[in-house]
Amino acid sequence: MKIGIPNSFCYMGMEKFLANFLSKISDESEVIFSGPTTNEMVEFGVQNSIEEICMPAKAFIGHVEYLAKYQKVDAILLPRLTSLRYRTYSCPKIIGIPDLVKTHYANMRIISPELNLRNGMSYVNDFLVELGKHFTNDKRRLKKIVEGFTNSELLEYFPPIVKDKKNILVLGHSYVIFDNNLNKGILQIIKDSGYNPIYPLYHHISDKDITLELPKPFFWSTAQNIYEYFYWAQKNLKLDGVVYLMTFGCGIDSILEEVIRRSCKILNLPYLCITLDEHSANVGIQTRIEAFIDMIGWRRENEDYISTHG
Amino acid sequence: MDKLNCFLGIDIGSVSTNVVLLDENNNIVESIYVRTEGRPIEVLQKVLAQLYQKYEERLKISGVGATGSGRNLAAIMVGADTVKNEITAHAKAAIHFIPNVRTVIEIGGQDSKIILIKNEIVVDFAMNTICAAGTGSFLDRQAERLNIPIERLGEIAIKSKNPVRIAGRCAVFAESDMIHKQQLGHLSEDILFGLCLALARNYISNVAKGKTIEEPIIFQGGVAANIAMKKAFEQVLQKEIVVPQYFNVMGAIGIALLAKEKTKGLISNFKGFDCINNSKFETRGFECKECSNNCEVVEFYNNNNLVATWGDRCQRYSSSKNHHVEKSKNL
Repeated sequence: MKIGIPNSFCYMGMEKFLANFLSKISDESEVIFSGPTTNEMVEFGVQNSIEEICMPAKAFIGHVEYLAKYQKVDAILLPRLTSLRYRTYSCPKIIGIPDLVKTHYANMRIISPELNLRNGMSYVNDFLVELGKHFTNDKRRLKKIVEGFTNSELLEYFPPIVKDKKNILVLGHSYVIFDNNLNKGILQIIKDSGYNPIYPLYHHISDKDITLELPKPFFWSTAQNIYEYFYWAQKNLKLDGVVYLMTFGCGIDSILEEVIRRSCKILNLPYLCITLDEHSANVGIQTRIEAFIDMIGWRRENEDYISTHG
Repeated sequence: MDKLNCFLGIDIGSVSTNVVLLDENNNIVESIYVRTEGRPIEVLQKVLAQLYQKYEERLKISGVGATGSGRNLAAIMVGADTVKNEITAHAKAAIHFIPNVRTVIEIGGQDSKIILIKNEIVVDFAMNTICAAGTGSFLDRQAERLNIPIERLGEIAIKSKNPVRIAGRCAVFAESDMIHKQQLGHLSEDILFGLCLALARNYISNVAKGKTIEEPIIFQGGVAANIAMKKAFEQVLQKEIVVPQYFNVMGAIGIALLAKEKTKGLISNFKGFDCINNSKFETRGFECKECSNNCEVVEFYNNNNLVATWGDRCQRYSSSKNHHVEKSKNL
């Protein structure tokens, strides 16, 4: 059986974990990934999804189409990601995305076990059992395989390389930061201008609730995670600036961006917000990043100037 | 006769192409503002030919800079020493004229910017996001619809005593508001000044969102030619606004200043007027079918030699090894 896993949207970073589990549970299933986002996928997604959803969700529809049409998979694995960390929920669009796909592909088999970590990380096991039941009836074997997965990383990304200086913190959802098509290669643009991009990873996921000097924690898994990383990075790393990649139409971004903007103002950190949508040219992003880097350089020169002359 | 040592600044924007000549003491020798009319290559060649005709051999170009959305194209055409984004160029020029400037309001054809400056350093900036409402081309379009030359929009609007309220949030809503008001019989001047006020409000709430606007404030870019826009900003901000003498070529001045800094003690890459005007520049494009990205690849030819490629995401074409450097043989 060919099982498709999209490398997009909320499933980004989770592919390896899911594919590993599938290979253990079933010998005859073959996992097919949709690969990096292409213009074709974006175009398809924009034309075939409802207007109100955000850009990454539209591109995601293109990934599903690629799996269904070009790869001719027998089933698509789309877990329902209700919550990715303690005491938080995912964005409603993420929770609903399996249903969105189901209405569009009535004849496609969609496997969507629920992943709900609202009450703790240990609930990953419940998710795996539910997923495994689609492939085996041997409960004892399933239990054994699930136990072997308890300590493996659910989400995996390329970790950023943190340097002593010239670090620029790029914030945003991981499905924006790691999708070069949606973000128009922003990490490379920053690298090309001689700076070092760093970005949040989900490795902080824990059952602990850190208050982070906020009156209350965020409602959403991703927001809590991005803010947590920002808070940690501005305390522990030497940052030259913060770039927030905001996707047009994202509800979480609209509030988190403002919180981070205000924090940067208080911290006197150079801050730039880039709104991403269907733009086909990256000229606008290029101009903004270039100007931002010039500004940082300008500031830096001046600071040096002051320090050498007392 | 001694040669006039000059620095050339080129700003190719969406609507206008601006060229300035700056002498060694930063005096403006020549400033040219023409409409790009969608043909940047032709227009730039024409402007440079014009300069050459006027000065002929008396001119020595010691540095060239290119900025604006057409900066990459211009840079290759003339052999620029520095290529910078327009925000840096505009800030540079603003600081040059008013060293203690704190806020730069720049409204061009397709985008609007705010630049905050402190102690001659850019500390923060913002550009309009995905919407181009409230920029020059929108004003252009509305003036055209009311059959008023864009140059006269300001002097007509400023006569208004009783401006109407227009929604400036979105260009489409603004237009329907304007049509509605016009059908009720409001005076053109009241509608136009109402539009200016709407654009000023939109700028403050959108572009300058969350930023503290401090004096001195300098207003530049093509839209600053509109005296009613200046008045609208003053009314909305309740602060004084300065429009510099060379408001419409500030980007070009800034990049000329940057080129001067860059070429200090170096020889300019400038190709020479002769070479530029006698060259044939051509842009060809195709849609790459190598992968499903379907990149729109743009190729730039100089006398049928491929000199630059843009737009391919994988850099299959734009990596320099495929390019014929000027000197290489004709193919």
